[in-house]
Amino acid sequence: MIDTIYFEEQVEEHSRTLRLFQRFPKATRVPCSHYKEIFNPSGQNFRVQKKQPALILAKNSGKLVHPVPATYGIGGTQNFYFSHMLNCLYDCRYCFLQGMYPSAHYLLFVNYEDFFEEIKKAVSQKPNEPCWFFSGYDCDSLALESLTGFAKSALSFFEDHPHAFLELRTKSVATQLLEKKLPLPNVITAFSFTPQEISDSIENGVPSVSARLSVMKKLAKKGWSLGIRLDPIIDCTDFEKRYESLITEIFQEIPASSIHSVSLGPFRLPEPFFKKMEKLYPAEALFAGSLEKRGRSISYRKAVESQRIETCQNLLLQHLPPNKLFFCQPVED
Amino acid sequence: MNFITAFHAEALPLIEKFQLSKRTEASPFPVFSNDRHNVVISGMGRAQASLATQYLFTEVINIPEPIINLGIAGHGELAIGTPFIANRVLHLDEKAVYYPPPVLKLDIANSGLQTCDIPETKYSHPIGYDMEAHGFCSAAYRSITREFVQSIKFVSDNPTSPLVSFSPNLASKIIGTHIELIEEIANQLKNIFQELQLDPKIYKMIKELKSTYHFTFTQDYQLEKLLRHAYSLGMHPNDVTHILNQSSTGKIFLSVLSQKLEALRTLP
Repeated sequence: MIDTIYFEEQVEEHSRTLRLFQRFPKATRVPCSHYKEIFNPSGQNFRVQKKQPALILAKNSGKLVHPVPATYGIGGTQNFYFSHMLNCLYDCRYCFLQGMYPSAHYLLFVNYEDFFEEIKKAVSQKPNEPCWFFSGYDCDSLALESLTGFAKSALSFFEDHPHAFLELRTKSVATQLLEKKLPLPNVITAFSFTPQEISDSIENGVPSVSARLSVMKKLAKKGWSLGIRLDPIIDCTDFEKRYESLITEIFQEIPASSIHSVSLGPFRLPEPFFKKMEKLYPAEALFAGSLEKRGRSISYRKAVESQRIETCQNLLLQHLPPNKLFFCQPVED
Repeated sequence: MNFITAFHAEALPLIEKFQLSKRTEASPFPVFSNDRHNVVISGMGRAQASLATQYLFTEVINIPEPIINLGIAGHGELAIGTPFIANRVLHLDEKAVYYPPPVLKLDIANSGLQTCDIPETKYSHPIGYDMEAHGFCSAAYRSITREFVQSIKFVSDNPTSPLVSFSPNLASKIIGTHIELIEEIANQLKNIFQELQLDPKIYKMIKELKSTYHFTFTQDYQLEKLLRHAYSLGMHPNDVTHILNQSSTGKIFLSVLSQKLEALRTLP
C-alpha cells in the first residue's frame, strides 16, 4: 500500500514513526529536514502522485487548531478544525484538496498530543460554551485509521473532555474502532454521500452507499450519534429522483433518533483551485458543467444551485426536524 | 525520451540501441537524436549538466517532455553494476534538496544521491555519489513537473572497488547491460506523460479551425475551452464538424457550438 515513506529527521525515533516503519518494512525510507521540501514545491503533478501516494511523516510545529468560517457548523457557536493529516485515501473529482495542495502524498503529523493540547486551550477560552472540532476537512477522518491510529487517540482525549465536541467526517467503512467502543455523547461520526451513480463516476475508491449505510446502522445500534453530509451536492441527470432515492434509503436504514445533524452544501471551489483541477483533468465532465464564477468561487449557476438545495431540503424535511438541518454556505455568498 | 549523460561513453548504449544520429547543426553540446529520442552529452559536473538540460528544453525539444539523467555513480553500499533510482538529490553547498517523486514501478534499488564537485572516494554514507544530478534537477524542474525528471544511475565504484580513473569502456558496459531496463523506464515515463495529455484529435481540430477562421485572442481561448468541453461532454467529433460546415464565420461556430453544448452540461 505504501512504497515510499519520507520522514523528517526530527521524528525518526518517534513511536508512531517506528510503528509505521514496522508496518511497511519494504517501503523505501527517505529522510528529509522538513516535510515542506517534499510536499510544498510547485511543479508537482497531483494526478500522477495520486496513483501511488507516498507517506510523509512529520511534526507540525505551526498553529494546529483553526477557526471554521462562520457560515459552517452544525449548531455550535465555537467551531474549529484541525488536520492531523493532509490528503485522502479516496479520489473524488470534486475534492478541493486537488486544487489546494501541490502534492497528493499523505502527510501525517505524528505529534497528536500537540493537537490535543491546542484543543484543550481552545476549549478553556470559553469553558461554558460547547466547542466543536472538525477533523475531516483535509483528510478522511477514518479511512486511514488502521495506519494512523489518530481516531483512537482522539476518542480517548474527547472522552476526558466532555465539553469539547468532535466530528469525525468520513466516506469509509473503517469503523471497527467505534464499533468496539461505548458511544461518546460528544463525538459524532458524519458520513458524506452523493447518489450511487454519481459516486460511481466521480468518487474513485469510495465504498458503496449501501456499505456505508450498513456500518452506520451498526453504529446507530451501538448508540453513536451520526451525521449525514450531502456536501457537495452534485447536479446530475434525474437529480430529484436520485437524491430522493438516496435520502429515502438513508432514512430507511438509519433511525432518525440516531441522526445528530444533516448538512447540505453546494458544489463550490475557489477559482484558483478550480483552474488547477481543470488543468489536471482536462477531460472531466464535472468541470464542463453549468458553472459560473461567483465572488471568488466557481459554483453551479445560482438558479440551479438554489433549486437543487431546495429540492434536497424538502426531501430531508420529510424525515427530520428543521433544527437538525444545516447549510454550508460559501463565504462569498 | 530525452536523456542527459555526462560522457559519450554513457550515451553510447543509447545511441546504439535507439539508432540515434548526431545532429549536424552547431550546438554547445553533442546531441544525438531520432524521431523519438534525444541524448544530450553535457560534459562533467553539475554546471554542465544544468546548462545541457536547459539547452535541451529550449533548443532541442519544443514542448516540455520527460527527461532522464543517466550515468555511472559511486555508491557507499550497492554492488558494482547495480542500477538505482535517485530518491533524494543533494549537494553539500546547496540548500535545495530534490526528491524525484516515486512514479516508476520497477524492482530496482532506490537511493539518495549526493552530487559532488570532485569525485568522491570516501563513500561516507550508504548513498550514491555523482557529479551531475543536482544541476540536472535544478534546471529540469524549471521546465517540467517533477514526476517527469528522474535520475537513473549505475554503480561504477564503491568502497571495495574505489574509483581510480574514469573508464569509458566500463561505463558503456555497465549501462549497456541494463539497456532493457532503461527502455522500460523510458516507456513508463512516456505512458504516464501521455495519460495526462488531451486527445491529440482535439489539438488537430483546433489547428484546423485556426487555419480556417480568424479568431481574436479571446475567441482563441473560447475555442480551446469549448472543444475541450465538447470532448469532455461526449459530443461526437462528427457533430462538431457538422457545426463547422454550417458556420460561415468563427464567431458563428463558437456561438452554435456553445448552444449545443448547453444541453450536455449536466452530469449523466
